[in-house]
Amino acid sequence: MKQHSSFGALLWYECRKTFFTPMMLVFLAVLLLANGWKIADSFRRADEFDDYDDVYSMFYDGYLGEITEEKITHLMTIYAPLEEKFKSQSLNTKPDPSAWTYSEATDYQFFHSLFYEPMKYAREYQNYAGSVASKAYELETLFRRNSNAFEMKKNYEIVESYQSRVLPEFAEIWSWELLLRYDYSSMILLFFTVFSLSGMFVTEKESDMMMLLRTTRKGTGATVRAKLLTAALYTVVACALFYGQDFLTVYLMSGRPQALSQPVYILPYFENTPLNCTLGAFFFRSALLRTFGIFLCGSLILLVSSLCSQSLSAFFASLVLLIGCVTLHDFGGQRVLIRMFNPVSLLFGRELVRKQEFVSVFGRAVPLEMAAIIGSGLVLAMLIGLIAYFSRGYHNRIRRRARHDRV
Amino acid sequence: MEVSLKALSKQYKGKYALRDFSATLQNGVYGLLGTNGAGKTTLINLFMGIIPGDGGEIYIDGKNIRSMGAEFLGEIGYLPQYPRFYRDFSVQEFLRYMCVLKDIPKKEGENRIRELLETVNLSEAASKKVGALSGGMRQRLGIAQAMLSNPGILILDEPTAGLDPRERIRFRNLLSKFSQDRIILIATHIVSDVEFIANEILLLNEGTLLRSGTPAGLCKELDGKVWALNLDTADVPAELLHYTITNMAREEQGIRLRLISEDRPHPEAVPVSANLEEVFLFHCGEDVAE
Repeated sequence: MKQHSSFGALLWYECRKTFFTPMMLVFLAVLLLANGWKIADSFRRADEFDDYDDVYSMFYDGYLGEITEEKITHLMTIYAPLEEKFKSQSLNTKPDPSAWTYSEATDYQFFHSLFYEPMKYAREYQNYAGSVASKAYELETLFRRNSNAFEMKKNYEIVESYQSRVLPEFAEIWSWELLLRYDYSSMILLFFTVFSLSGMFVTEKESDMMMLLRTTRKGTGATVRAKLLTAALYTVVACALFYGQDFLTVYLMSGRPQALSQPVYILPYFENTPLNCTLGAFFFRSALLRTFGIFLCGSLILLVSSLCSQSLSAFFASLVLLIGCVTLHDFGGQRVLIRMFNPVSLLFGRELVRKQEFVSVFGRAVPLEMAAIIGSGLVLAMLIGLIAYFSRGYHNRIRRRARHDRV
Repeated sequence: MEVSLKALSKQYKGKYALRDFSATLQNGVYGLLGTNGAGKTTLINLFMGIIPGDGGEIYIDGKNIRSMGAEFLGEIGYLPQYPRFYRDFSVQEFLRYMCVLKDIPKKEGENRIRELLETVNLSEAASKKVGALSGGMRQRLGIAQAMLSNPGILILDEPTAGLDPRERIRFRNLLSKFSQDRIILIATHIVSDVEFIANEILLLNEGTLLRSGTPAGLCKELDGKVWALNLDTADVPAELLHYTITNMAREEQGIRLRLISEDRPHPEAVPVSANLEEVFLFHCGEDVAE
């Protein structure tokens, strides 16, 4: 016989209680609109040559793909005279009908930032990566002789990571750099998480439902599990909505996704990254990492909710706690322990993989990102344990104790 | 069914909220009477396992509830003191959710919900939001949820608090309907809630069980201690003020008093039968005259 009691039904009612309320859905829609407007606005502001899209498309289509001598020669034919004038400070800023854009000065800016710099960076990257790898190899040999396992492993990883790096192709990167540094959605998500999760346990107490729940078969352990899973589902859905919205907006407004299939170090921000995946894969794993970060923050909020007795105090305590975490990240962001155990550091996951950084864990060289994931995992386990402890009914505890006594 | 409460105790910061409470309950309605802070809610919370006790054991049909686990929870229906439930849920949705929590099979749950909504007269409000219900309707919903698993023990904590007299009477009648073949324990400080429906009264004061017995038996214990008196004066004479005055009604010709006294308090006073309110005041209400 089909039972009401399936965990799925419990999960549905938890979602119904917390999220499927008119207020919550309207608030979510408003925040999605605000985020959509914000990222579109940021894109428009960053797109300095929006008025010259035809010119940009013409050159972009010509230079897209493998960087050949022919393409470089073509670019330098236009760019070199402009650069010379720039160096001699003789660039004309007045409107010029023969200019590709508005004037000579804007032409210089146009070619410099959109084509010359990215191509130069790509061309020189192979040599740069090679020099890093050979330097690391020398150090690895030195530390092997000195039996310094941590430094040896660290340099070995660098050699492995850098030795075959190459950027043979040109693709648009400015729009993806914008997405990389766009943190507004994470802040909105944090606020929305406080708003939606801070009441999860405390409203049960306020409405006297906690008493009732504790006197039903599924009202303690199973309900706490359902609440945690609901919070996880909420996090996944909300993050998919907001981060998906960010990605789609940039993708649609830019219309040039070619960089996504290039190595992540096509962005100068990641010149020294330990990652060797594509930029597209990086955005995906970054979204996963940020989702984990939001869930971690959500678990912190759930703990506050299970400790407080009033919704308002749970809301403000959660808000203050998260503002504290963000401030800690901003002002103490370089300290390894803070980066490892502060849930907010996962929301800025790009900073964890910007450079080759290692943490010594029992003498072993662990990449910083991995250390942060492990640290966050420990924090999550601790938070879930505390939530379960504070939310389980007395009956569950004595039942467990009775079982223990019998054993 | 038989519930034995043996030497239950609970202290808060060294002060007893409940002290050596022992009682045996069999099928029927029990009124747990006591002033605010007498220990009624503490007793219920101990019984329901909501709070840990400092001593004592509870047995259901000879089985210690510690060893019963979920089986114990299936035996009880509970209505807390001020339940607000979930404002956004409809009445039916809320009861379905309670069925899930109580592990009641879906089909059985649907039948039970239909049946109970009819019994508590909420069928027409089935799709109404809980937030839109009146206090009385919400209490009826509360008792419906408590009855979902057809429990052998029904525990109601101050079930009529905040209800108007009509709803209070309706609620009492409802309890009478449910009282067959089960133990109903009603904790209240409103004597009229239990006076006519309780088979037995447990009188609690400052955490201690003072008295227990049938309402008639408890009233009989006060034979010769409750007096009625008609006086031609406008106010209560000073010499009567130190007695526990249980009722004072002003009439055209003067005042009519009921008071409690071991001896005849006034030459014109006549002994009358005590009611449960007077039993309650005799044991728990020293300061009523003030």
